[in-house]
Amino acid sequence: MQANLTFIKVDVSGLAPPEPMTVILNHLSKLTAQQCLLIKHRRQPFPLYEKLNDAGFSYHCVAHSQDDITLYIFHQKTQTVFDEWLATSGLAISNLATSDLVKGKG
Amino acid sequence: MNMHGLSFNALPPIDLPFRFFLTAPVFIILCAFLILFSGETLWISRWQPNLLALTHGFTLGFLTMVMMGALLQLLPVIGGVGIAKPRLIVGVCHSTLVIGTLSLMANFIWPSALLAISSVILLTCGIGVYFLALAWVLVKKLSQGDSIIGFRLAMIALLAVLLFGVGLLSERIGLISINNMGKMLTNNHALFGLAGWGSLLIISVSFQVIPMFHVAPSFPKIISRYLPSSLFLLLVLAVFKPLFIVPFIVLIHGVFAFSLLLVISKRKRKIPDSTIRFWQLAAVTLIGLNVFYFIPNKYLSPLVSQQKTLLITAIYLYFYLMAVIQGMLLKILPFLSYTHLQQKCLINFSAMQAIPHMHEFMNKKHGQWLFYLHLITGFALFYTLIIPSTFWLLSLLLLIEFSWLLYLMIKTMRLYFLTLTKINSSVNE
Repeated sequence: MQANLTFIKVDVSGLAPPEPMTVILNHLSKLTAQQCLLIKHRRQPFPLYEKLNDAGFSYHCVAHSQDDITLYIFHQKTQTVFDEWLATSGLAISNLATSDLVKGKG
Repeated sequence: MNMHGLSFNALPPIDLPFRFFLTAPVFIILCAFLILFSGETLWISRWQPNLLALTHGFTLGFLTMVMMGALLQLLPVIGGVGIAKPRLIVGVCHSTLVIGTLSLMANFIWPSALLAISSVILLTCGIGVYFLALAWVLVKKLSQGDSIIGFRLAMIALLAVLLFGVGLLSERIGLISINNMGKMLTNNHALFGLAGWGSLLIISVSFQVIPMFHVAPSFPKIISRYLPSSLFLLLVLAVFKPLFIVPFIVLIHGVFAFSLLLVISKRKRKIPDSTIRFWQLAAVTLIGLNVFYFIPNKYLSPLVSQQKTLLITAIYLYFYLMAVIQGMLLKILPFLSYTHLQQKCLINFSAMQAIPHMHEFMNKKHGQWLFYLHLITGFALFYTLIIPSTFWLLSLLLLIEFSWLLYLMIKTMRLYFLTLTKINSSVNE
């Protein structure tokens, strides 16, 4: 099955804390089960990770370099769909460039 | 690197770092009274017992207190891992550090075996337990590698400071004999404390927090990768060849200062910010200290040249280490409050409306006043070291500056707990 996932792209890499978290929370509040939030960030938002699972979200992070991160957040019930997208995207996820990720819409 | 669904439970409860932060300005307020009641004689030489008490009030009571609290929160934010059993560890470390520092200060003023032994036991316990708890985190492979290496070296420096200090105190009460090594141990105790534990940690933290909080580029790789290790190596070499190595320690601080100014100048949003001003003050101070250090004494007024070592130490402590710490407090107090509250909103998104604006946690103008107060107090310190009769002015200014800092902290924490109550009640509705 072709993964049926819509990617909502957000770039928070130019924002100072705590704005990235505010932007992410605003988007998460509206995120549906068919959507995946694709975040371009400068660092791993560890405090966010801590609570995502408890709040019913899953995440997947690809660190391209120390200050270039792509983070995917989606509802836990979307995990299978996301895994399918990941498997069928045909790209080695650890080698993805951000531009490649943006093209990889479901 | 892929990180998929790792389980993090790292951010310790906010009252734990706040406990350290709230205690720190109280120590300086205490120091202000010590200056007032000690009079002019306090400033005669660095070996004056009351001046030693004062120095430890600043370094242990303020600097170490804030740095220990800040590391507890910074490691989870930048590295993703926190200490195990934080409430127990903080309970032990904070209380023993507070009582141990007070005992040590009292022991300098009213020397007694009981006070000396108490301070050795309490400070060894407080700093030792903290060292072990942090070591447990820092030996793990964390992200943000360059900074983590700096943190490790700073912690080793802290251990060295503790060991030198315990050696000196043990000698004072006759437990051991160090013959003619007392001055060497004292100098290394001070050097590892200020340039190792203090500066090395600040430098390593700056590699993370300047790009993060101020949307600036990363430090040049050559600086972030090699400067902390080089500084640490120089500190170790200074134990054996101090006269030859100390100038290089001064120079390496100059290199850091220039790279700091460069990174700050390249930040994306150049909005006025008191924390940036504190960083800039620190960098300019380090450059100024380089000039002052290398100027031959014959070009200086006798009043200045005879107090040169004391002046350099005081300027380094007040305009560099304490400036950065205060600037950081202005940034991390609202940031931590906000981050902890935001975490609650993941369960209940509507609670986001209850979170006040960042500036309500720390008013920009109030931060600016703290900066100006710090400048004025710093100049008063400089002046008092040359003309000791102005000690009362320094005491008064310290009292005002750190009462103001304490007020700002209490204000931020009060708003945090008020907002938390609102969020919790909205969840329960």
